[in-house]
Amino acid sequence: MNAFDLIPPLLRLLINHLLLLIWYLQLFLAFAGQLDWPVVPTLLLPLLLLVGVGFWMNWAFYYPRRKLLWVHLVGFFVGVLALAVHPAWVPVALLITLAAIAYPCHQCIRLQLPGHLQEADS
Amino acid sequence: MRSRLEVLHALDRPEALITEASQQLGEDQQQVEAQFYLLLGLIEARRFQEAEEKARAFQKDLGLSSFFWLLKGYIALASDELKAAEASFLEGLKLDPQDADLLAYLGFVQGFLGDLRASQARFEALLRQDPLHTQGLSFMALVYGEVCHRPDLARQLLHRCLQINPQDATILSLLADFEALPWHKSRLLRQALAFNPFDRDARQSLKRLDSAYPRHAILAGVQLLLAILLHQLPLPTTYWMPVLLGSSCLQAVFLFRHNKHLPGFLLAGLLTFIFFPVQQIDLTRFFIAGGAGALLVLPCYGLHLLLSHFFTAKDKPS
Repeated sequence: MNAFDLIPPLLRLLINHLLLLIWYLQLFLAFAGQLDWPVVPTLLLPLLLLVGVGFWMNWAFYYPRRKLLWVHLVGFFVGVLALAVHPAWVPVALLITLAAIAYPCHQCIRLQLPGHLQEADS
Repeated sequence: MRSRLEVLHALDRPEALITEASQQLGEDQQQVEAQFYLLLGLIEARRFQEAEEKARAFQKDLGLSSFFWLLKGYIALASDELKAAEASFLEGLKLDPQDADLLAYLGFVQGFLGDLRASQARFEALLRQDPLHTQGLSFMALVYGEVCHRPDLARQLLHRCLQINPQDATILSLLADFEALPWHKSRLLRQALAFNPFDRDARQSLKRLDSAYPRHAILAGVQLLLAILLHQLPLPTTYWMPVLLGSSCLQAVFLFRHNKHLPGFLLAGLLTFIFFPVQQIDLTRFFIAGGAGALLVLPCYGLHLLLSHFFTAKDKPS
């Protein structure tokens, strides 16, 4: 594996989850405003968590299109709910979205080679 | 003693094979060998529509052979009907659950249908039985590389294929598809073409890789945007303008390798945007920049001659 292999999946992740990322940055802006938290570190939190967890799930597991749709639906409606109750609940919505991204669906297999091939290469 | 049909198949003459098999079938409708060779000939001649009709007609006689289901699935796969191909391969596996080719094709089709769990199980079963099945390994590489976007795993599988047979041109050109860097790609395609000079796909992708114009166009576009952007920023031009001038001259030097007219146009176009902000550009300033480009292109041509003098491989004493 070389570092150039990591660039296309990162770009694909950012494009596929662009709406979700923008949505959570907005929600955390509301959260930071409501609780008087510093804006930039508060916005970095959802960015790093979504990109980190999403990249790991895209890289190590198969990530089907249908799961992407469900992640977006769950992320959007949970966010709306949190905002409707109180912006302080936004981190909980983020946690639920992260759980949806990390959820091991039926097709989300671990992408690895059979045992004898791994030993031959390492 | 080999039969006439077998010899024609081995000689790779599909049209002769089709006529011979049809003749034998005219004498006896139920002749199993002629039916198989007719299907094989139609597949090799790439007449898949006809092959599908024949396969449907022969299913009554050949339906108990797993090889027939492999052929039928292959015909469906060639006509891009993945569901029908999967059904045929599953039918064949019911007859012979250990058939390696059927397992490989089924894993491939299921992978591209999005059923990765089943696909992985097929490939694992296949490699447990026959770890040297190169076609299965390359199918697994295609599924991992194309469906799951993991070119690193695909490369590992294809390297395993090359350990088994280092001269496989198909595997080499597949490996070129999964390499990230263009010079690795072109090296592998050259190797593949050395083993099989008639591979048109590999030759075309090598030609595309070797043509330097797209790369030069991207580079020129980046320099253009950079020049426009840096003019908009409150920076003193003394710092960035020489750098940008040097980089565009270097690009002109390397563009001379491919074309002797384009470097002039490149420099005239780029210098306009490097010297002046976009708001101030008019025809006079364009001509000023063109004159500067005409002056700069001469040392660039000299540098190009110097470089080509020192960096041309001299194999033969002249």
